[in-house]
Amino acid sequence: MQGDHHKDVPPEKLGLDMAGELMLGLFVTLFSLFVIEESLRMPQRGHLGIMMSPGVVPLFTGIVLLLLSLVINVRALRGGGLHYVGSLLRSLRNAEEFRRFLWILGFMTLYIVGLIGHVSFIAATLIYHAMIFFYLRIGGPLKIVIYTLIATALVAVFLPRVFDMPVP
Amino acid sequence: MDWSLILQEWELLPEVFLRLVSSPMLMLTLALGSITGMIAGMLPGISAVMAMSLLLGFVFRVPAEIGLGLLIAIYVGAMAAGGVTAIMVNIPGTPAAAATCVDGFPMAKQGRVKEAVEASFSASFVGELLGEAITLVLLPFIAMIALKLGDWEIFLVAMVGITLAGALAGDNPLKGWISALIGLVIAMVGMEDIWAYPRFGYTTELMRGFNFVPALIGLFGLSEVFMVLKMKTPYQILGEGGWVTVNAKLIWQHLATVLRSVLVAVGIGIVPGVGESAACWLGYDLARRRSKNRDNFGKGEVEGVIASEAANSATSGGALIPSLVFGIPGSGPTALLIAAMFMYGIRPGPMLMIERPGFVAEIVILFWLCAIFNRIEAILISPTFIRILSSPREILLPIAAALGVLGAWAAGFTRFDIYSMLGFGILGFFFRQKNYPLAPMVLGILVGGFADTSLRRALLTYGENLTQMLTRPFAIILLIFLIFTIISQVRNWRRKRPKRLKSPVDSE
Repeated sequence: MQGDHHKDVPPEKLGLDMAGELMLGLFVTLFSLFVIEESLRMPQRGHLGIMMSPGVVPLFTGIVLLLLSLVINVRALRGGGLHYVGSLLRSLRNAEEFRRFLWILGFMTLYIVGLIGHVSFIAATLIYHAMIFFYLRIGGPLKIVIYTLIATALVAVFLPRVFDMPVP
Repeated sequence: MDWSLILQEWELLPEVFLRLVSSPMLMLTLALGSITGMIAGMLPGISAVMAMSLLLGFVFRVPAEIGLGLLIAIYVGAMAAGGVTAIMVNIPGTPAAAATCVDGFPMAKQGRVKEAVEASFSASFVGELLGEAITLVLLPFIAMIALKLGDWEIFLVAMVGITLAGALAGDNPLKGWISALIGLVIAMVGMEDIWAYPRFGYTTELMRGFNFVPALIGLFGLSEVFMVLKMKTPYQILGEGGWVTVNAKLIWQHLATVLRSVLVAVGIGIVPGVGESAACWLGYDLARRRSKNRDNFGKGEVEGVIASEAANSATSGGALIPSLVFGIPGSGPTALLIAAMFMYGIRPGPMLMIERPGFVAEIVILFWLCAIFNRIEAILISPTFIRILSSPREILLPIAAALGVLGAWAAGFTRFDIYSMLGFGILGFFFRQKNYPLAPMVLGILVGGFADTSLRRALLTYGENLTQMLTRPFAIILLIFLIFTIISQVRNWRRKRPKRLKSPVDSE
């Protein structure tokens, strides 16, 4: 895990880093505000008010979350995060790693949402493995076919049989 | 607690031991169960609870000692092997192995696979043996303490666990705590226990709440798949594999660490629902504080692996206390053990030692035998597993993701669980991008429900007189420890971070 050590980091990189911190920090802030608002709307029973409400723990959790996210946001703003939000979004669009993440996510989404439940689990798993192994270029066609068959047999045939479980 | 009852269990130990080891069927079952548990623990997405629950139906068809032995063997095997995936793939096989990732994975990346796996298995083995032994010896004292723990104390233990996990899993405690608190909120989704109010229950699936297993798979497994495969050339695990034996020298060198972890784990393991998951972090924290190499923790320190593995294996002893003495499950696997006991007509509770003399001794011996079988099998199969888990990441991780889908499905046999696993995977990916540790979030999800119910029950009990609640002796100790942890972690972090973050805009 990387740390928060910013020594010897080029200013551009630090700015992009801070922009990322700010965006995620703002997400947490919005999430905590939503949690607080929803908690306050939960029914309050008895004479102890919020203390007896099902919202008491989410409320306090939301408040602490809000405070912590504000610290993160202030640090990101002081580090120039706001200035670099546009550059961050532009750099993400051009970054190869982010494109690869979107491809992998696309394969997973297709497998989980598009294939499972619509075709048989064995076929879905076979298609998913073939697609992803091909994209990741694990080797020549024969290697891809062999690994696809082994992986599908393990996930969709062997383990469900061993544990005697239904498949999705 | 009557001392004569404990003495009776000690006296029956040799007799029970001879009876158990002279049953070939039981020995075969323990061997098979251990290997099943190890496979379940090593495969990302297949957990001990899942393997145990799927075999629960089969257990009903065999005699009690065989059935319980099988379940215990799976539990012990999965606990020991969970650390191996944590080390080699950065995906903990069980939640209790989350702390093992912190130092184990950096060791594997440095090419110290054998050393890390050996440390993990050795510490796990010794932790299991000592944990059960201490449990048996201290049973009356621990039971007495367990009786004094109220809802408020259970809540505080949960808070200590997530505060430590938040502070130790990453470099920035604020991010760790944000992660843990998000986990707590996720645990709040669904029907709550006291008023049956559906919190955040916008759909029927949300009313049921998020299942823990898909969250674990998504946050640890799928996010790791995204993180590694986004790189054109993913890292490879290098270094020698080979036979992984019990490294007595290593354990001897870190004996104090092992003993501290075991004692903490047995003590914390008794807290129902939260103890088992929090214990590995407490063990890890203690080791880090006392170590000469404390600056190396988080970067591949073998002592970190030893501390967390000894603690997580020894918790099974602690978790046994509430399970056997009060019938309160300390964790998922112990809940399944209790279910199996009820199926056999064995009623765990204060009367257990009177109604069934020798039963506690039998369970403890089963744990010991399983640890031994586990160790032998680990030596035999470790070269194969190290080779499989060292496979190129672009082959291993897509298969792990598909296994994760199967594991998420098996958690509740609903497609919502698979979708939520995908959602948690995406959340985990973005959090890891900005160095938010995920282990605290998983711990938050795991203990959140228990913590919430415990706090609100305590508030219901002491609503009119909160001073009485706050001044309970155990609560005061826990509260002081909690405040001390928060202050010391914030102080550490402030000392380490740069004095004033200079904006790049200013420098332009």
